[in-house]
Amino acid sequence: MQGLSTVIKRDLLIAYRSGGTWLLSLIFFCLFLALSAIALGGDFATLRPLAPALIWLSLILSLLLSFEQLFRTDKEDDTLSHLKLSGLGLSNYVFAKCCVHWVLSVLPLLLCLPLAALFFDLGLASTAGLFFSILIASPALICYGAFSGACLVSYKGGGVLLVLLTVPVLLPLLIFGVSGSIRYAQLGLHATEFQALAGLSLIAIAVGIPASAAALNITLE
Amino acid sequence: MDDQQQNNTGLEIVNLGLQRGDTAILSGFNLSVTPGDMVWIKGSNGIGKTSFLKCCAGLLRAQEGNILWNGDNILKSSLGHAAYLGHLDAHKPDLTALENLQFWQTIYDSTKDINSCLKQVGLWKQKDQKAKTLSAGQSRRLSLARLLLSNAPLWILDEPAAVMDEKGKNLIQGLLNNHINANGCVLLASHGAPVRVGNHTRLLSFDAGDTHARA
Repeated sequence: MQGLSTVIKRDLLIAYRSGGTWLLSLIFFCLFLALSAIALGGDFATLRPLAPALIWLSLILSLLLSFEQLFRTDKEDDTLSHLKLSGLGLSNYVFAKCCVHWVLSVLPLLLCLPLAALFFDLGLASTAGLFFSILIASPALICYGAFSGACLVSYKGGGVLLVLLTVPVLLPLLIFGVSGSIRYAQLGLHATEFQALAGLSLIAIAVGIPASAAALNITLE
Repeated sequence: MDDQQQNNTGLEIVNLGLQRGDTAILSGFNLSVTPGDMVWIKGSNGIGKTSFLKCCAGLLRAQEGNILWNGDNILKSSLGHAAYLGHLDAHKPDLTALENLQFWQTIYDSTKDINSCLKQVGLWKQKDQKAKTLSAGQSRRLSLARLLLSNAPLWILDEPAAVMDEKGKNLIQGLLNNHINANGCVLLASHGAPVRVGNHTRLLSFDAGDTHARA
């Protein structure tokens, strides 16, 4: 438990000193939304129904770009070997990395959601729907991405391969996420989509973290 | 207590067969390293010293045979038997020397004092310097401090003196002496002239096709 929190503390400190590189996915998210709003004509009547889909797309695209780096530095400077020898257990390490990644890349997007809602003139109910669908689906997004990142950690330029590997498992999240955020207005959190998303997240945590640890273990050998 | 005493057999390598690609490094190799032992490994470049050391640490899976630590297979996770010092220093460049060590202290669950480790390796003045500003030799000293922090009884060192000055080489010698005297084990690969440490130092020569240990 202590090992877990010290990995989280270390990575947050490194991110704080990195000069803001962790902000890149947030900037990508905002840029993508601004550009699509412009490309689609900037008319609120056309944009409003498309907003949930666009916001979900930009979320997934911005996250996909970040997984390649998730374990890369620790692998390249041999920190992973030392962690393996320390007896910490790589599952703990992967879990800590996922927590940090959530704080650095999902949390800022969630906090910026009201801003994104302004781009598309969304009401409170739609914004809340998006907020909850992203919140509930985010563990699955992170865990599946982490697994792909762990599999490709020793391939230079594995970015495109990572996208190919991750997109199929993210598709159900995209489908349920978009329709859940639309149906929130009528049904609130009782919409079946939210249950599906929660289920997917739980499966992803249970499968993704040990699988990532195993993948890292194999790349070390 | 009796059980622990009985099982304190150190590192046992049984019938080890190790390959890298198509080249055989070792086959049918046996070696036992008991507490207080030091094995000095020599051999030309590319002969497989690093692969052998990684294998002993549990970072590499051998094709044949077993490596046991106090009777347990080292590939079992979370054994925590070995501290490894390889070619890479594994420091985070944006953290200070002290912060790097604090991280490893928690990971190792170590009760040893960081300040005294830093003083021992001669990095006390640089403790608040970021790791990226340390020289290659200083960075290696920081790795030695991490080695001191760990509770692992087996030290596996791969060319620790490669970037060290004369003082640094003496420092490593002193640390090895202390560790052996405290009943630790050391496996060391080095191109330097072998030095006897403690009562039981052996030289392991890696030659193509014929690897043997002698006292």
